Amino acid sequence: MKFILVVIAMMISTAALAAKPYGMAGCGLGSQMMGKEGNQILAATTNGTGTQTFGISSGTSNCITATEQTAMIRNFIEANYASLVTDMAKGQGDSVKTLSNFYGCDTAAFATEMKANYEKITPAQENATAVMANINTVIDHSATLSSSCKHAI
Amino acid sequence: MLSNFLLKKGTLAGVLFFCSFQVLAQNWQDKQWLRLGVYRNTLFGYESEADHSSYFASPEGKTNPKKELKALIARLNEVEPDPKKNIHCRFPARIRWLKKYMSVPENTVVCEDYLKFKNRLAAKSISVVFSSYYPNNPGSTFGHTFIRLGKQKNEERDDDSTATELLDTGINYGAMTEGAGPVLFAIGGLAGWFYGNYNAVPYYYKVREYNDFETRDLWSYQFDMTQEEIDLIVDHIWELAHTKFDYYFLTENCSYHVLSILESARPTLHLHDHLPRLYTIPSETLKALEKEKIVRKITFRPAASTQFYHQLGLLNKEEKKSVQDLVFKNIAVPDYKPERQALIYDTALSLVDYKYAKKILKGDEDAQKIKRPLLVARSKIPVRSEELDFSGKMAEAPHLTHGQKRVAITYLNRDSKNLMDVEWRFAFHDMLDNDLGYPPKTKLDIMKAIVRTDGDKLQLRDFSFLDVMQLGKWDAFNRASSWKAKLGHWQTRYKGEDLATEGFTIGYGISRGFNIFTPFALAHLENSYVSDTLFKYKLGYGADVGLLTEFNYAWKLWSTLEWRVHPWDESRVLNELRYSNQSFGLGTYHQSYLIDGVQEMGLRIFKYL
Repeated sequence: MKFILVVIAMMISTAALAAKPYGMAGCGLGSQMMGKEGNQILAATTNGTGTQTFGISSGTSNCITATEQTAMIRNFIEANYASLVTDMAKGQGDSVKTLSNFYGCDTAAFATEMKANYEKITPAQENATAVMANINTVIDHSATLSSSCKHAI
Repeated sequence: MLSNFLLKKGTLAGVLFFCSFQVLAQNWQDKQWLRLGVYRNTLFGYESEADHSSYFASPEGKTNPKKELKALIARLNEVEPDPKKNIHCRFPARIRWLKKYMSVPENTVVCEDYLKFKNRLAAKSISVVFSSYYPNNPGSTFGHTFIRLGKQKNEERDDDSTATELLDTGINYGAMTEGAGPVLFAIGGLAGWFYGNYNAVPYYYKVREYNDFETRDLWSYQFDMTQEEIDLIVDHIWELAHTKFDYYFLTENCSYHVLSILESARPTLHLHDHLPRLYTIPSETLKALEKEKIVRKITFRPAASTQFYHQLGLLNKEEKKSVQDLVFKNIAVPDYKPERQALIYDTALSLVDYKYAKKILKGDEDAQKIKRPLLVARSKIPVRSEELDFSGKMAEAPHLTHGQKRVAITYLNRDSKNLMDVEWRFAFHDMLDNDLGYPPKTKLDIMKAIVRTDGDKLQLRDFSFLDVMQLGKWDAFNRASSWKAKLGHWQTRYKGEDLATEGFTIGYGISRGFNIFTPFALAHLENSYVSDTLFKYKLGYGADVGLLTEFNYAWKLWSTLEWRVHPWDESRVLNELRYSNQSFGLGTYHQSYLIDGVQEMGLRIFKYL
């Protein structure tokens, strides 16, 4: 009887109930900073995608430093890497829309520029820091973006 | 005594005392107070599900909501500079509730962590997200639910729900099983050995985990809640985050707690009343939301596989071939119009994302070598992709599924004897049940019993602890295999007689879909114990070959040859036809043993509960 219970339990349990984070990402920067002792829910508070992010995009708040913004964007790029590079190549998708939002750009213009400069932006090996630096360069060099992106780094 | 007290404490405290006396007498049984304390009625009175003493203001708070309220009121004036201990910082939700009934002294301490948490969430809307069944892992058969707190109001997103959704916060309740393997988790999950707790992560982690890594669709059920209700939920989550709960995966699981959180904000909600006490199945909780009429809108976020097959459906035969050539043979796409070329590349990219999901998300080099050339080539086609339209999916939303419990009565004739089978199934779904909202071509029966009677005697014919089968999609793009497993009690046939047997069977093979037809072939192995024979232990083997015909969600025909080498006596041909909707079903079947031509046919009536 016990054995049977165990087998059933194995079949119906794990993923539904104990969703595991994938790969290295885990719960991200936040949870790494919190460590084992930390209260998990606080992870969100150090994960850098809070009200300020949205404040930036809607241009109503100026309350974070450039360093914090950089950390947020880098974290976003790293966590959404596979989806983001696909969206950039296609010129469409919510990862690229969200990234555009971070920089305060016009979404269509941003997506078009990312697509046009795709090969320059993404290195052969996954590298979030390099991608971010390249995006910043593209924004700087684009007449449309550098004038329209409200929160370019 | 009272006047002494008033003199000592001063007038303000006195007023507070009088008010509080009334508040206490009238409100300690207030529904919302009990919900915010996560109290449940038990045989021995109230008991909170929260398991950490820090969740309460009184040492007896866990079992005594009255003393808890009294202690909370008494401690409102406490001067405690440490925000971690300060009552206002620890219990913002319960104090928010208290303010409806009495004036509460201003908090003099800045609750730094709490404010940070609240600001980062910046919650303006709330949804329950259902992460659908995970087709390749029966482990997540029931799905999963969690709360999403949105940074924009629902209305603001009606034009484009995806623009900022990724920046929302997912509030997840799960078991703390660090270090426990699946077996330990399974036993502990049933027995309540583990603690459960809440965590909050950016929604994009949830999307990557479920949509991409595990290829599961995500359904968001949006609610119309006032800002006040949402603020209370945020405060309540803050309180909950500082405690832990006993985790039971059949009852007090993720979906159970999600409903509790929603109820805490609105006393008129009675979501738990729509659910049985003994277990909580995630998709059934969605039905409770619908029944309480709080769902404003449902939105859909496709898994990598869903996106791929959707795009594939937009291509013609020749273009599909190009996708194959591109991904598997590295042959460039011939000259189509740029729009078609873009769609072919997009489909190829979705295929790679789906097929190599785990490798890609882990940054595997080989997977990148396949994907990157496609990305670079795609970026050079001067067309931006169109957004895909998944509005058709709404007809298959997970709350539309049939009831998961089922009773059935079968009138049958076997060897010219009239018999009746009564069947009861605890959960969940089989190949011929209506599969609106379920993963296709999947069977998962848990706890199913069939009792047979000839009007005289009763016989337990069949009992499945677990009976599962999946006909995987084996096609030119992906080679998912088919498999089955059963554990329980059933009848084996030997020398013309039915013999009771207990054990397990497994099977493995392939199937392929052609329009409404799905032919399949699986090798079959069985290991069981038969008490009434000389051989006792039986190692049976053979194969199942058959055809599943699905005319639509409701009408289906199952035809198989169950060919057994050992014992040969069991080999039979079975045909079963069924019509079923969300609550009723009607069917007929016929089976015939190969060895002696003994036939059985019957009429079946189903009721889904």
